[in-house]
Amino acid sequence: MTKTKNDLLQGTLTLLVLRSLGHDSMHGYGITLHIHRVSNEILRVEEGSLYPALHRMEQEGWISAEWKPSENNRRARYYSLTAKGRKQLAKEEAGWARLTEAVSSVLRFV
Amino acid sequence: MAWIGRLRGLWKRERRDVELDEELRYHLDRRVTDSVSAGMTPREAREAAQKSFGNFTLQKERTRDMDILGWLESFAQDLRYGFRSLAKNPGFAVVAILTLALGIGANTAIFSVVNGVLLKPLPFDHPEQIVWFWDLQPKLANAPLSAPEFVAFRDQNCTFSQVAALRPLNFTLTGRGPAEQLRGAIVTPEHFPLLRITPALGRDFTEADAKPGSPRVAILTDGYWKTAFGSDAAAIGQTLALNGESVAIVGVLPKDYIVPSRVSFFLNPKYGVPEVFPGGSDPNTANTGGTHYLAVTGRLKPGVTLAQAQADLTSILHNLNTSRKILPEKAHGVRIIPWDELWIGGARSTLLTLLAVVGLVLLIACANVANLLLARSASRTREIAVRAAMGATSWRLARQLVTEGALLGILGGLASLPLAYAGVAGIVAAKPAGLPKLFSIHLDARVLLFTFAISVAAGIIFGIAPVLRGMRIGAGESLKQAGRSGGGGVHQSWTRSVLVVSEVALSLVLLAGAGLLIKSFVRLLEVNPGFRPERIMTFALSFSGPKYKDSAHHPERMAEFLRTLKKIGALPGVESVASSNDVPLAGEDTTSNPRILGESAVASNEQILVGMHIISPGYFGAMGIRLLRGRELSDHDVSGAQPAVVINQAFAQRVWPGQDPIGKQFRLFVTDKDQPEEVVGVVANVKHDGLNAEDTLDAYESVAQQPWPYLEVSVRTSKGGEAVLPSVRAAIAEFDPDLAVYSVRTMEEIIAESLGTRRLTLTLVGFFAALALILATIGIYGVMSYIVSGRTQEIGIRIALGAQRADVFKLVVGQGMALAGAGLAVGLIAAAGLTRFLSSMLFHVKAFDPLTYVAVTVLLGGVALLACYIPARRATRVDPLKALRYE
Repeated sequence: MTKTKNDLLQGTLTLLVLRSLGHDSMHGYGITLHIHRVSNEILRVEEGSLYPALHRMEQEGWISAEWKPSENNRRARYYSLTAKGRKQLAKEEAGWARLTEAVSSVLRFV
Repeated sequence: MAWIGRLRGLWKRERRDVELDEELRYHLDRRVTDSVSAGMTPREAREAAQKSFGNFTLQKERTRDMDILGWLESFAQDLRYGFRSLAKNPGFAVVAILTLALGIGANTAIFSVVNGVLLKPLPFDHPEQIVWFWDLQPKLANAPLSAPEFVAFRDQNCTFSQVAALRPLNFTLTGRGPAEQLRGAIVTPEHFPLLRITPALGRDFTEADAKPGSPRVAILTDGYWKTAFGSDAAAIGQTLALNGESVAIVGVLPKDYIVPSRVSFFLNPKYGVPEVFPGGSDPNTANTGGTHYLAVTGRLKPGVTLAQAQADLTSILHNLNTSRKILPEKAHGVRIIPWDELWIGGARSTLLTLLAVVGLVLLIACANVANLLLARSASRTREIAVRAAMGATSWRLARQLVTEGALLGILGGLASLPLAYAGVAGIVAAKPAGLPKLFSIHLDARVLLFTFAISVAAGIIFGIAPVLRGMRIGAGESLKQAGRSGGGGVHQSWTRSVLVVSEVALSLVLLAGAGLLIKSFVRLLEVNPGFRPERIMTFALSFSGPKYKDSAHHPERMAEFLRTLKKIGALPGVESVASSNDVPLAGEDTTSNPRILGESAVASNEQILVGMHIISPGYFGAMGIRLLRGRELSDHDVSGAQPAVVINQAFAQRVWPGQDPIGKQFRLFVTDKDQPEEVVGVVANVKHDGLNAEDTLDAYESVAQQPWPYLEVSVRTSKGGEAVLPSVRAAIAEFDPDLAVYSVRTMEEIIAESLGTRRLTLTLVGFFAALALILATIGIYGVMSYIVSGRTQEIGIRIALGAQRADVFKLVVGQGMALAGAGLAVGLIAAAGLTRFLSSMLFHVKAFDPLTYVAVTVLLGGVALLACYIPARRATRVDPLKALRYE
């Protein structure tokens, strides 16, 4: 959990958040837990960037938010993917795939 | 509707803030809880959580910025789209924006006047504390105050910081070029402190200036200082010769001070209280207690209410009446009103009516633009349907349409500003009679805010029409319909019909109102004023110069003046000439409460109010006033002879009903003659107080028997006043070269002035009704053309199947006139309900005047028919072959 890892995360935050919301709606803290868990505790969202990003995405119309009671009986703001967000996710996934492929190609080049 | 969201965002900012706080707190708290369950101490956990989260407030700010940025971007997106779609159809945009500019411009102009007159406070310090005093008399509400009343109020009140009295008077200025008549005001020293005005130069009046016997000093207005002294500071210390008296100039008022009624300078009072006439006697003497002539204002102490001050004054006046042993039924009352109300006067109802009228005009303009938008949205159906099919929500589409409407509204508002500016400048430059506070009428920030608000509101009103339609029609139906342009669905033609019907109805209301006002005006001008007003020129003379000081109303001097009048009567171009202390309809009557001698219909404890007219012999003949009984006043009614009066018919009927009034006697209150006045003749009633006023009781006495310090000369000319004025001036100069001829007016001007705001109301309501008529005509024409073009195919089929052109013509005109007829019916009902608000402005016309209603219905119906005619003609020329191939 060094600074470098976080920097890497910065550029892909949108993709990771959209992906995380692909199946179920989640609140902000839930998203950080989810990403941390499914990345085998390698990736950790920088909490300071998460909320501006969430609100930005909400304004773009990719995700929508509503207040719902959470697991600990306090209400939390849950985000879920919109139709527009799903399209955006596909776009970002394709972009990521192209990027990783390109990086792999460079690494494979001898 | 991004901008609505934005506004809502601003309003709900606090709530958003709280929610954002809650969202972030939740995150922090969960992190702490989880860390504690993982084995950290709560304190460690909280510190760690805060460390990883960073500065809480900063995070909040950054998150909130994202929200605001989002609004701005989608708003900008909607605006861009709106501009693009307007630019794609410039013809539509220009027509819509111009229509709106007319409607909004009319509203802005009238609101500027309303704002200046009704809303803006007077430009004085704490103007809400300044009140005006009215004396309430048994027969005369709202009279000026008497000197004893003023002194009692000033000295005994405990609710005012200052109470001041003012008496405007004319003075003859000599020694600075030709003799000049100037208006001055005698004020008590409280006057300027009350207004919180200090002289820009020199000093204010002091208590010492108001001591009886102190020398007279003057404070000049900035305007007079400029014209007479070229704004030279050396004016202080110089003197003015006013009525032969040398008056030292001690001060000059600031430039921005609003001067009442053309006053050139202010003077201190001679006897502590302003005198009734220049050089007159001490008004503190008991004899003048009955003369009501003082304009009194007061400034309430901070925190004192109007009611408290009123109670204070009422009890002071009650004590005064008791101490002077005045019978309760003859006792006067006092009433105070906010000073601003005195300025506003009768203009309030006029202005509110005008505001309502321009509001209706704007609604008509909105209906027109809504129609245009509907027509356009119909041709955009395919575009909208495609966007809807591609997944745009109906919310998003509605927001787009309304944003376009608001954009149009704001563009219309911008385009209206030059119109509004010109309108306001025109109204102020015309100085319409009865419109007060012209100095505070201009386009200011509040007016611009109003314009912006109505522009946006108008935009939303007409922007919603196509939205309603878009909401109702599903995407599938739209796509099907999109195959055929025009015509629209049932829903759409229903919306359009409602718009046309309301336009016609609104126009009818306006036309009916204008019609009633025009008819009232005509009725008013038809009133017989009791004299012949044609080709009369009037001017004023004041016998206040040094030559009249001692021998003020010397019989010989008067006789010589009457000879001068005869000379003027013999001049070429002059038909007749006469003098009086007042001019009919000029609103400057002097009234008195005479004491009737002998048997009469007036009870002993009753007072009657009589207009006093001091005239030259031959006045009735010259003015064209009919003599009904007895004789006119003659050259033999002179000082020393039995005082003779002529009364009017109303006087005779009120005081001596059924009797011959000739030979009856009464005492006019102001005179101190040995003998009472005796009635020698009866003349027809003259409308002295205004064409719409009730008949007054009037008495006429010769100037040779009743001295008067000023008079108005009325000259009836054969060609017009301009031509004879020089020779008239020469004749007056021959009588006395130091006598100033002033206040030269024609009877037409006096009558126009007496009609007050009526002319203004009539002009503006008439103008706006005409505008409404034009807009409604355009509206009907637009809708009918649209309907015809939508039905081209149908009409083609009909013609192909053998329908006659005449049938087609009837079909189209019938459809148009059905709409117009519905509009007329609704409009008649609405007009019957609304025109009664005009009843205070009507004269001898009922709010539901059948003739007016028929006339405006026929006018509007005719215009509607004309508007249907052109599209109907076009329909008859449809070529069936072309029509069937159409699309």
